[in-house]
Amino acid sequence: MATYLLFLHDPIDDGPMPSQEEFMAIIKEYTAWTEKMQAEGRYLGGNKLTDEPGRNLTPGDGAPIIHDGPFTETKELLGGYMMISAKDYDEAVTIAATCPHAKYGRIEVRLVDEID
Amino acid sequence: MMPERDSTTQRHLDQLFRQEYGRLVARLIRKLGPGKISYAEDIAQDAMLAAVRAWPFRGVPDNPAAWLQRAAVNRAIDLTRQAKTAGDKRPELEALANVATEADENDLHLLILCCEPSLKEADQLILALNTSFGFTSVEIARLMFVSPTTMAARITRAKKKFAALNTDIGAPAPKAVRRRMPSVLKVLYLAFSIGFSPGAGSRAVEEDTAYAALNAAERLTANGLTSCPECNALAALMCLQASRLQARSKEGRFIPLADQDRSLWDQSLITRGLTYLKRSQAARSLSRYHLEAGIAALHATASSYAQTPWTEICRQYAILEDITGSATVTLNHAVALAMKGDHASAAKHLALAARHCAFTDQVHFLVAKAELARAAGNHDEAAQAYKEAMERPTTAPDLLYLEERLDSLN
Repeated sequence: MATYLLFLHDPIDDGPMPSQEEFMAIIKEYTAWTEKMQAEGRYLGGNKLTDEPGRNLTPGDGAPIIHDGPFTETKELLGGYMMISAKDYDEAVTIAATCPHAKYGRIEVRLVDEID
Repeated sequence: MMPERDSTTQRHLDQLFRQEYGRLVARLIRKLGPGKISYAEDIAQDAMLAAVRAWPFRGVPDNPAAWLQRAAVNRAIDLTRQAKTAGDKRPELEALANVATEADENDLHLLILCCEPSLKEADQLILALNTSFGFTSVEIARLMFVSPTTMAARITRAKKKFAALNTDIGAPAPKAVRRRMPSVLKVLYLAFSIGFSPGAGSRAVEEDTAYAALNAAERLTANGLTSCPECNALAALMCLQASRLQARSKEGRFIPLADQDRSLWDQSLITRGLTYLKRSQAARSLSRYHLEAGIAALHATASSYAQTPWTEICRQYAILEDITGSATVTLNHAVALAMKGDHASAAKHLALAARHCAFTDQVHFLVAKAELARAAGNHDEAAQAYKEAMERPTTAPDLLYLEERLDSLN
């Protein structure tokens, strides 16, 4: 089994606020998924990031250049990451496809290189 | 390391969000006044949204209620800060910042606040169910036999009226509180019925909702300001009905009273209910809660379905019908009459209930019609009614039960 990182990107435009029913449905969906992953022993951890673009450093002449805010004009913001256990990309992608986030934003799947 | 959780967390989350939403709004209104109800709700929703976005990454927190409260307080503080920066000096925003330091007061406060006498009773109920209990427009619509869109509009209007009131949000005077009790009790009664008989979804009962209403009723009986015979009667009714919650479904199928395993009935709840019933007898007149609790007690103390005292139950239903004029009561009376063996009277009462036009379309009516026809030996009529009932919105367990009833006719 290998470790895959799932980077969950959020689209930047603010959609309409979900209704109370939609809230309930979304919460249940997400917690059901996370609990399933935990029960299967696949969920290795994750973190939500704060809702701002942070900082970017790029190499500069003499010292790195610090950028406050988004580096490029993108329509999405990295919202958080999760680490899951899967045997290969196919499995990791299948798992990521079941994550409720896949309905709302892009999920980037990357394999952690195990160098022993 | 992720904490271990079982799938009951899902169900509890539903209840948690409902409860916490009401508590958050209550706390904010207490600081800001009823006029700011929309603002209070926005903040509460922000807290829920924050949870939806954060919890998938680290799982549900160990103390989800506290997390939500903190999220709401942080949001309130953010808004205050933003407003200050913008030079906005509204005093209520100062008040928001103090929300963090308030201890969690009696969360029945919002319920009592919503039962504002200058509002129409229907508006009070709708407001309280939505704001204080967190029920959605769909759920409340089902209770009152209107469409969800109609109910959503009614909720919006009720909130506008509430916001337009210039009430002093301090604790209402004792006489004012007592004046509100009939509405407060009605809200709890309706909330309990949603839990006892959800009417939609995959579960036969929503225990958390039922227990929340029961808990609120019991707390009201323990408080000198709010306690009254009707309150005790309502608490009795809820305890007695709640005692059957576990027995109402088995393997995803609804189990009616006749077939329930009575060993699954919670005897401690029955005892508690009978105690409340006794306390409620110190009343000047019988309320509907007294009668309904009395009927529930007769069922709860029967050792088997065959031992149910139908004659006495019918007698109580007759009085209840007189007091309430409710189609549901008439229907339940019809069923009791059929159980007693008086099919002629049962049919008469069914016809009476049918006079409420919105009612004949409801699954409860159609099921009663089917059962009465079946008991009277009219299998064709029964089959037709079961089929019609199955086309109505209802819970999945109810549907399974109805399929079996239909099949067993042959």
